[in-house]
Amino acid sequence: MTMPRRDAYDVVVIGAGPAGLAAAATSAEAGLSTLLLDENIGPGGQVFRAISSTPVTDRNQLGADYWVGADLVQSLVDAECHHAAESGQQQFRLEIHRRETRATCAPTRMSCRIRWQVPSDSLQAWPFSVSSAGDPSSGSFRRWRSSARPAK
Amino acid sequence: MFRRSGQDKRPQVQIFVDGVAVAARQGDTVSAALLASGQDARRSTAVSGAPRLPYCMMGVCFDCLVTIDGVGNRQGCLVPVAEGMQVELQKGKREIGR
Repeated sequence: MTMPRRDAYDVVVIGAGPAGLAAAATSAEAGLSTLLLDENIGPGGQVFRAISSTPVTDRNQLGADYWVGADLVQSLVDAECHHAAESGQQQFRLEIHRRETRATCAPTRMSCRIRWQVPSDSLQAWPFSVSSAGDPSSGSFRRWRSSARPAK
Repeated sequence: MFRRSGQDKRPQVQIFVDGVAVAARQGDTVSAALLASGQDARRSTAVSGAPRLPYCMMGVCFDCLVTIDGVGNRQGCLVPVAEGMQVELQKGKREIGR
């Protein structure tokens, strides 16, 4: 079972679809510690499903738009990715902490602290549910960024 | 019902469906393996007993519920196959304790 490398992240992105991949790549590239979580076996969401594992080799078969996803996944080099279906990790709890960095009206920093829980057998049927970052109904993803937290 | 693409060169993984050996491919989800198996992979619903096959293949519709390695009500479309995995087509409700 893989575990996150840190116990806290500047940014946690839930859902490794097109929007989630772009969000995680952007925040990691900006120097923020980034964790990307997804319930599926691999990245891609529905649009780029199985982009990093598809057996399809003929690029004409799924069209150029599908293969854009491969570049998107490549851009994730700096982000840490966890796939629940792959790691067996079924449940976690996210706590979002808001800390005042100064007593004055300076911008606040926010970080996400992750507490991992080992699932009981009875919970195995219910992997955590994620809402798609690319789902129009969920609105655009939130981005918490000001100054990057120093790495532990 | 479905045929595998000729481009699919992934290694085989053997799973068991109601005790019968089925050749899946590495990286298949349980639902994909069931649909490609050529077997009757219909479960039956908990309320009316109507037959159902995996439908959305993305974790939304819950029409792919199966018992995997003794644990009921699992979404076959979200679980990757593993060598020797025991899959049971779920007829009706999940049983208590499974």
